[in-house]
Amino acid sequence: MDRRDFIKGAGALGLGALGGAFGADPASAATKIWFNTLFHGGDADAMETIVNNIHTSNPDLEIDLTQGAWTEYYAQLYNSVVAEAAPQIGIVDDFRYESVASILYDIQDTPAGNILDLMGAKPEDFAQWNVSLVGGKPLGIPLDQNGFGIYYNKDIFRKAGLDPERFPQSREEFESACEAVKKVGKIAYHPALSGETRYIRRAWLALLWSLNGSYIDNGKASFNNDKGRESLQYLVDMVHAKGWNQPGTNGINQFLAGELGMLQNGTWFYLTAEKAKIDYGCSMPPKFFDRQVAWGGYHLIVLPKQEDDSDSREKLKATAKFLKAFLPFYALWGEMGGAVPMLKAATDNPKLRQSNTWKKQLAVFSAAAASGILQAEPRHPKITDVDLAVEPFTQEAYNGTMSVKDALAKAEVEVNKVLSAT
Amino acid sequence: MTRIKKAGGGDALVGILFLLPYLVLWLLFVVIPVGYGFYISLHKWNPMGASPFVGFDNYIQLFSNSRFLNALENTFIYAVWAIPLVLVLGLAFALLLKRAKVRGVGFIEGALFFPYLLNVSVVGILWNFLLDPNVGIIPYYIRAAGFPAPDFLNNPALVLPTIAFVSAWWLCGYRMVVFRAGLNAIPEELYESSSLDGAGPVRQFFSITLPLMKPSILFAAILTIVAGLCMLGQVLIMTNGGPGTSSEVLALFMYRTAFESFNFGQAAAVGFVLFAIVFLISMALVRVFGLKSELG
Repeated sequence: MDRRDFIKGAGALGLGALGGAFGADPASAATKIWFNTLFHGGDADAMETIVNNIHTSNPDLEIDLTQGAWTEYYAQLYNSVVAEAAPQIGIVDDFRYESVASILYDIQDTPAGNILDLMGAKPEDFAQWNVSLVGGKPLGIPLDQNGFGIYYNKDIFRKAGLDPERFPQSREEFESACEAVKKVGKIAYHPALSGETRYIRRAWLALLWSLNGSYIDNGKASFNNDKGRESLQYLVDMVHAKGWNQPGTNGINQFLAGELGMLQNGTWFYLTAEKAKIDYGCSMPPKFFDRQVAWGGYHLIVLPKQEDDSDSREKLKATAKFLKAFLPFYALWGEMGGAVPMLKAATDNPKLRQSNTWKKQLAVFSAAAASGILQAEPRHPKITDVDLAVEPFTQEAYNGTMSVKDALAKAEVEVNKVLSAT
Repeated sequence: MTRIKKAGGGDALVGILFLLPYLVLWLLFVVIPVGYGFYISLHKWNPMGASPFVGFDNYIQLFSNSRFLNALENTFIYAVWAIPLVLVLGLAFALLLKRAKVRGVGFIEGALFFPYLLNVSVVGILWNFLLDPNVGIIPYYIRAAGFPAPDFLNNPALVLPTIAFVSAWWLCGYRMVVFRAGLNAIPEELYESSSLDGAGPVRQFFSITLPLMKPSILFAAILTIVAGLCMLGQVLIMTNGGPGTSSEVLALFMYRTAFESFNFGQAAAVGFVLFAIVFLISMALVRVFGLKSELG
């Protein structure tokens, strides 16, 4: 028994069990396709609605939708391809895109042909088609652009004597607003969502990019310099010197409890904020340094590689049919999921533009996407390892248990170790 | 084997046939995966391409990796807090319930056992809320009592003891049931006759209860050691290894190495280091406590 046989066997057992659990049997019918996403919460509800709609209008398309396994998603995707039992369709974050590139079809060159042609779509139909390219080949179809904005509590703004319909536009205005919120006994600002390590790193990255600094460059860490230190110090000062919040707190809890004035959070926060019945607004962060930047990312629809047989080719054709049927639902994805749809026709869709999502936040994110304010992390096959190497140190600096200088120096050493490892 | 031989070939065959279903499953689901895991740990494993044999390089690299060593240290710190807490609380509840002469003992026992029925995700999320510095009820009452509320999950010195306490809350109910079974197996006559000889409760505990509970203690201790050293869910949900790497334990390090970095060879090596630690400690315990009950 060689490595692949073992994985195949284990994969077949595991996927068989999964299939049983979800009533799915990807191999039982030629036109039945398996769509596995990493979405959960509001995003997952939105995708389920879309898939149900597609199935209603295309009864010959059977789609097994499985969702929710965010943490193990990439390992599952990877191992399922090795086991030749992969879903026909998956979703990938752009920052993990290169690390799984080897298991994805070039969508213009699959065993069933050019999927984009079969969908009746062209690269020009998509905003920022280039995000789908790895080594010049499209390994996915852009679904959406997501990212961070600042959600603010209008009631707290009113209490603090601030204009609830106008979010601070400059760093000075933002700092004044934070001080005003503090004065009325509320918590001013949380820069990092729930306070988890990755969100602290992302908050710092946006500030670094605002200073025109860079994260990695030429295969090495490039943040341990004046720009890196100034940006991280500013983030640390927010929760120490300026007292806008405290380290170790969960900004989402604070915001939902009505105690937080401003919360940096993602496009996906829309549904949670709506359900909380808070009178809120949404804006991009102000220009903290040289340029206005917010952390951003993309979701891509991908086609994991399959065993090369006639059954797989039939399923790929069914996948193309499904994706063709998906195109009109890009607008609904934006409306329900809160992220900026990457199909140009969707962002101009009148129904989307009249939706509550658009009014409450999507107009802001859409404009930010169009103007380049949302910035994605650099593409690198080892970017996850780089992030994991940096995060403990940025968190320690944020907590005040390590100086900014030491944190970045140590992070630089670890990142260079990761990047130089073969 | 001697007994089997004496019983005759036919009986031996029947015995083996009875064992066979278990042995086949054990081989399929334990021996082969574990052996294959060890094989992976000796390779720079790439399921999509060539996986060169690297011998013990993955193990050698681990012991020069400061993050692995930190995780190893954190694992032991957590274990030193969690294992005694779980066992002592479990034993204390079992003893108290045995001695309790009040109505509703069954209800109390059920209430103490209840947390064990919860999934680790529920436990983690629940305690995250209880300990939240802003909306958590525990920091609220500490502040209400006039004390500054510690930052339980964001203080490097407190985070592991706090998670150990949460684990004790979650797991001690099951240990209590194990100890209750052990206590109930001790004949009351032993206590009665020792009382006549003038032994007090402390002497009875050390001379009768503890020695006769060795099998229960061993069982509970091994369960707790495995749970303690292989702990993942609590840190994954409550702190994700933070603050910094203060609560990054071996299982979390292994999980990240495998599922975030796709470095399956090194992750398998971490797994075997963890296995070796758990195995050695468990065997030492078996040696100390023995497998045979003194009740005969």
